Amino acid sequence: MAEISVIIRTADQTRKAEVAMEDSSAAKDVIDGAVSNWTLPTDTDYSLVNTSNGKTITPSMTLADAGVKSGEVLEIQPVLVAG
Amino acid sequence: MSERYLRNNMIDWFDQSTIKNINAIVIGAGAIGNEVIKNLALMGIGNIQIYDLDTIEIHNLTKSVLFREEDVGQSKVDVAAKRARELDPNINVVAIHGDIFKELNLNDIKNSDIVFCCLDNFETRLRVNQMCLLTKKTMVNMSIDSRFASIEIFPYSDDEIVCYECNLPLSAYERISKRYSCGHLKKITYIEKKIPTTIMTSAISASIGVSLGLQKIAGKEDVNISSKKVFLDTRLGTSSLNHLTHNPDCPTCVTYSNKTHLISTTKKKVGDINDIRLDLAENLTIRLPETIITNLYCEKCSHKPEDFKIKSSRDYTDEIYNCPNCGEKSVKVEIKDELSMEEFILLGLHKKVFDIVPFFFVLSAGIIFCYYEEN
Repeated sequence: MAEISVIIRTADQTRKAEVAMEDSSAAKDVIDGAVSNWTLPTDTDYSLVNTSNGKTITPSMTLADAGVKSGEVLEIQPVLVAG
Repeated sequence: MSERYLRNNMIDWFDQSTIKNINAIVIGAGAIGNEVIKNLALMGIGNIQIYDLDTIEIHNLTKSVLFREEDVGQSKVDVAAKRARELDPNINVVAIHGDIFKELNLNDIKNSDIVFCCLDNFETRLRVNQMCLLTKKTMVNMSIDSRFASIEIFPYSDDEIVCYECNLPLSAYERISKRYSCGHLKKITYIEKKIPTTIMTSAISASIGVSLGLQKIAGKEDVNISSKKVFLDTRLGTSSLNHLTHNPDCPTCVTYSNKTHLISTTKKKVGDINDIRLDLAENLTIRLPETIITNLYCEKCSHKPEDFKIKSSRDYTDEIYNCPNCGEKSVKVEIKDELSMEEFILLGLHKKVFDIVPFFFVLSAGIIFCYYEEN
């Protein structure tokens, strides 16, 4: 377990913050934190993408498992459902 | 080759004769479905099957290129199929009006080349995902809101193990469960959240979705396409290409992995399960793809409907808890999605299971019995 500093942003790029967190944090924890701190709409679902390598981070995957390193940018994207 | 496709013949990345022979399934004839059907028809895709249960409403006209004001009230699939045939009379278009859970079976998917998923809810997307994974057919999933468009391609094969459900957030399951009471009975009072969309997001998602799909199944070059997502912001004009990651805990992947063994059967031959039972083991557990109601009775007055038949929970709403005899909310409902082989036979399901659920699997032996029309 180690602390890493990553940049979290929303897909519309209106919210962006540098955050220090344990690399044992799961993607769903990162999303929950962003939704809570930025008061993002709670009637929307979100997924997490590491923009440095373009890979999605599945909900229960930790940042360490996903190979996320300090300085990388994680984007919170809405999971769309309408068609 | 008809003169109609002269310019298409000049395109270097696909062969028009291959395009002509494609069997495509379009699930959902809403905003994205309209655009996908239009694209497929204009490209000259030879065979298109369209599934949807809705009828056209006036507010659909702002983002549905195939619908007109005089079509309001008609089924979406019938009108979409008619307009697609007008776009290209050389193609075969079949309209299937009804619930995907009832109308779409594995046989339809197995006989297709590609499935375009243009739905508006997680639940049905999950079902289509399972069916495509089982039959190893490429699925293109498109979804939108008023600003963003998401296009995902899942080229299912023996080697491709990333599925739609792998990256689905837990909150999506909570959203699905809100539509149902205990036991997967539809809540009659549930009001679905309306999500606004635009013709811009639906058109761009369908354009990219059809391009990715055709590249996969009709592309001249052998391009290695893995599961990926294109995510677009139509307001900023930005896009990103995301490589979808496999989730080892994904319920669909765990259940429908390559370890399972498909056995095709027909409605008439379901009784053969009896014989399979003898060949395997008697303590097999059968898990159904959706819950069924095996019994119901009133706990207060003991009333039991004389005409009760085992049915999928989807065929009932939560009104079933109200006793028609004494008027109390006291009906005990027995709901199951997992049965022992003994129970399965005792309830007579070995003779009629495919009249109740579209396909099922024997979890304990990793064997999936599928309802196919055998050729």
